Amino acid sequence: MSEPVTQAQIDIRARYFYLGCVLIFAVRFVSSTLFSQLSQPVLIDPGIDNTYWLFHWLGIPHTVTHSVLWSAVLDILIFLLPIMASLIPGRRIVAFLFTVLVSIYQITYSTYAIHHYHSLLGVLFLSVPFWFGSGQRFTFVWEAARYYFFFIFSSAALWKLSSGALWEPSQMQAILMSQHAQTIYEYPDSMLTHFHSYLIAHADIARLFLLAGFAIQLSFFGGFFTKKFDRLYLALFVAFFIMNYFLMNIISFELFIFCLVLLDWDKIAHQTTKRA
Amino acid sequence: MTKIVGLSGKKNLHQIMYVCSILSQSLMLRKTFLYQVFEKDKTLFAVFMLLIIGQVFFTYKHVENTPFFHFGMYSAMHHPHQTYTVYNIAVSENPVRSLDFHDSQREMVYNTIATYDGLKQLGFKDSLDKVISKRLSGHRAEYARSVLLNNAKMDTPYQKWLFQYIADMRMIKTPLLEVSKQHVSYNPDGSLTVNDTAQTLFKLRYE
Repeated sequence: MSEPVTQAQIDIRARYFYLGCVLIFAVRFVSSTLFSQLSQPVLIDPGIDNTYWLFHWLGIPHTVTHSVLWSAVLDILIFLLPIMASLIPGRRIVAFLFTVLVSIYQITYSTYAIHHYHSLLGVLFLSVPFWFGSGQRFTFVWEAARYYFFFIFSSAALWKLSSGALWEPSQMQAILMSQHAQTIYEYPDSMLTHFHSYLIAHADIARLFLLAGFAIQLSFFGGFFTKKFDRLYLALFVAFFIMNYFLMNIISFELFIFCLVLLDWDKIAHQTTKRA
Repeated sequence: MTKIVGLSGKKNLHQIMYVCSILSQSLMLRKTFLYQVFEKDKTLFAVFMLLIIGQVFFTYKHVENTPFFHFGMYSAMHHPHQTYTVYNIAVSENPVRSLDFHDSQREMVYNTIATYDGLKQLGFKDSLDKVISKRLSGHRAEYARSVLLNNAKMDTPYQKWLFQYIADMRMIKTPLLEVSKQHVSYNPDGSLTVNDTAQTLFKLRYE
């Protein structure tokens, strides 16, 4: 456990991670949600989060969206920094700047999208290990990111138990009713609408999906004790998000970057060396 | 051997078991991730401990405070409502539907429309004002209100922003945006019934 990694091994991980980040922000670009594309938004919701308050106190979200210069520079950097970090071994400063930039983007987008989103947390947390060079500290922080991934899912299971939502027979039905009112209204004849309407009409069957989701989330506790089943968790993770798409119409592909903490990097490094 | 099994022997056995359990626990402890970090990198261990304590504290408080997040994934109690609000968007008199937008773009559009609707109903009184009053006072509170709250001055700028944000992605003939809302309720088969005629939230002809 926690063997120090070499610079070459870090480089391989960096290539996968930062190119994944470029893909994520390319999709954000197509979705017109990068800094300059937000078109100087007006309504805000910083919520009661003190960090959000601090950012607004300092005028950061306003500046990075309302200044033509800043928004353009940051949009370029959001692609340039990960590309640089994927290529150069001495990436520590670039990696740190990328984490800062993603934090600013995460808070800015969430503020103006009026909801505190978690979809970019994989990018945020996995960018931290690259602040460090080869050695034990990189390994420890990478492993901490892996534990955090398991914490995300297992804590969701605990919340369901503690709130009592799991025992409420109409919980899933009520979630679906609220989630899909707009799409059922707009697309009454689509296949997904028929599926969602069926589940809304059959609360017991809808509840099975809630229980299945809970079981998957609860199973992630195992990840705290062993790495033996990481491939199984990878499959469960993918299954969970496919279910999430069909059931909730939520596309969480940005969180897929967390898959990297479940991969066997020794094997990948070995194969890469063999190919080279 | 027989002595151990005797009365005083039972005591010894308990003591041995106690020591064994402590030893095994400490052996297990030594295998843990945090112990290894503690052994090899004290600074990092201190950072991890601070983060764990912060996470536990904010979880206990039921508050999300970046970077201490709350991952409920629909864990809050939900109950069915009698009616739900849906929104209609028309650009140049052509309807735009929710799936015409990409995922993160859709959130920007529909979340802000719902917020605008809520603010209009409350006369643009932002509910966050109560939290500011609790946390801050004097000049600081005034400054916080100026940077954290929505207000009535944002009414027309928001309408213009929404037009620009949506129109930027489309080739439009006439610069006209209309947003309206309706109330719907669910039928037993999971389909929807529209309860009222569309109520216009705003109609904007962009100059």
